Amino acid sequence: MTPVDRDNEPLDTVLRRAMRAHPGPATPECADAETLAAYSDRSLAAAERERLETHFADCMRCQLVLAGIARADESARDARAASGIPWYRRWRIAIPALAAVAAILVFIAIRRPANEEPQSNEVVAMAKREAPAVEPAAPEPAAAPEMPEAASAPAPAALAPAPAPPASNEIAMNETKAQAAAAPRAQAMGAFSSQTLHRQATAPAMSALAGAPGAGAGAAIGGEVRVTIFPPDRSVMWIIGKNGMVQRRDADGTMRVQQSGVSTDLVAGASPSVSVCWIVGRSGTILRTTDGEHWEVIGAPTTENLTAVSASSAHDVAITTAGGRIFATSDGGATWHQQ
Amino acid sequence: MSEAPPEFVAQYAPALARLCKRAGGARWNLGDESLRDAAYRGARAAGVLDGASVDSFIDAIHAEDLSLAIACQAGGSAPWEHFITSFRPQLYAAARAIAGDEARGRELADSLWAEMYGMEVRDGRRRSILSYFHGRSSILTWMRAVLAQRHVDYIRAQSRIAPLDDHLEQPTGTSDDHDEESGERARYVAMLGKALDAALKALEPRDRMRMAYYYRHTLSLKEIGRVMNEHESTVSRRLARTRDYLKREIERTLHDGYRLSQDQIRLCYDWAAGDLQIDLSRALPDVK
Ligand SMILES: [Zn+2]
Repeated sequence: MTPVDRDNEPLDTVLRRAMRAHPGPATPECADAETLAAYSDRSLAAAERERLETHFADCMRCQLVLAGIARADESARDARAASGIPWYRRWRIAIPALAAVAAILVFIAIRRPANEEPQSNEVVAMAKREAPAVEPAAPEPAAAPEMPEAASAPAPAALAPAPAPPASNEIAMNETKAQAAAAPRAQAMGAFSSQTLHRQATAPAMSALAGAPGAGAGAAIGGEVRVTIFPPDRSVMWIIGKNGMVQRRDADGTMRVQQSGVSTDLVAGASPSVSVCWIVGRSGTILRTTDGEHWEVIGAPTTENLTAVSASSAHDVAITTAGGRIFATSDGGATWHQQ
Repeated sequence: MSEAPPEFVAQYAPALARLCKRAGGARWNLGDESLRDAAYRGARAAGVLDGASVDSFIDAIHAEDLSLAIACQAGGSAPWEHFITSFRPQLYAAARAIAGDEARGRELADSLWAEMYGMEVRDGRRRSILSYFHGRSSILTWMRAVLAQRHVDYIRAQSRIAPLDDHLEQPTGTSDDHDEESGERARYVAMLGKALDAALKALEPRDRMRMAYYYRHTLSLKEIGRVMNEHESTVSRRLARTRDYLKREIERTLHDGYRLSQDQIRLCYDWAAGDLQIDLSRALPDVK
């Protein structure tokens, strides 16, 4: 049987639908992270392994964790096996790495003097913004979408106090090299990096999901899932969400509903300029505006749910499916190539 | 003060000595005591203290990873720098793979870094999530497991905020004729659901797991092989075998139990596969 076969017969559709389920809360029988990891590493004795498998066979939650470990492991193997890394992947690695190393340098910087002198409140606050709570039940309202980019994506040099540990400098150097490797394409994709840095800025504390600016924690729980999109100059903002919802906030603060022309749930967007914005959503939904006002549906290369999009212009865009596949186009969606 | 009781240290002295040797704690100026304490905590957490398998438990500990984790918790910059250089790229890659999304993956990974560093300070000491790592797995797999757990919690929270599939389960307004047909369809689908439920329950746990990874989690054969410790071709063969068994069992129940003809059985499948109004997962045993 191949993955193609499973889509072909009614029984396979029935099985897929019958097995659909939401994960429940952890039960006393659920294995902890280390036990699940030890199971994955085959470090458990046979008896414990068998006992756990009886639970795993019917526990959606434990299955999801094991599936996540397997995905991560396989993707790492694939990455090692890949001989060349395409530009967008280099970009995807380089930019987060810069921000990550900045955060870690903060950790080291504040950890080292922790036992000797009072910490800098400013640095701790910064590190905290780099470290959002995972549970959306308690988002940090202060870190909502309007957080300035500089707050969470500063240059490593600005964070590393002198004298910085030599190894930290080396790490920072390596990151700079990594970014330099991505530079040729990154220059051409200037808006790409801006968008990334912006997403970096809005990512913490589930801000992208916490609703419109000013929404409190309670609104996040009771409200809809919403995502905000800014162009590099942040002069306008789009808010997208369920059932094809698109709103635009103009430079003067006016909010307006825009007609997306679709009713699917929209989940991610990228705006390389004030007039150009791309949005993706469930069931292969791709939308684009080139005047900042009117949206057109772009033919997608897949009907899979889409989870992410990166765009540098009205023509150059890469989309990611829920299954992790990436498709790119450089002619505005007339033709797509799987990467 | 040492956490491991003297009798534990005495009883398992040879295994603990081997652990300390393997761990190479000197690199981080780590004393043997902290490793012995960690081994004791790990054995206690794993519930093996009362059994005869403590020696093999200690020998299976990923010693170098454990000593690195202990050294990082102690706050040294050298172990942290080693940790960052060795694991940061893998952590971010893992978070991306688990979340299936760049931005969400970064949030996950950033959050775990913060927890490992220990943002919470209690009694003047930072509380690091690394204290839950006892070396029962590699530290990389442990980080992946924690990321995956966090992601599951996120999915749960999201499904509470926005049950995206709810509209599929909404009943629609229908005419009387339609009602009659709907009732017929519902009966057929329910029969299929029951037959499927019974067949799934009768499977061996590993067979049920394999099916779940394939159909529920849409893992690739390779990924299933990774979870189940099976070769890809074995996964493929066993999936096909289980699927055939399910098909046979379902049709046997529908034919022998419900007296359905082949045409009616075909209708069962078609309706169950095509009818988005019915959530088949609700016809199945409660999935935790
Ligand atoms: Zn479980």
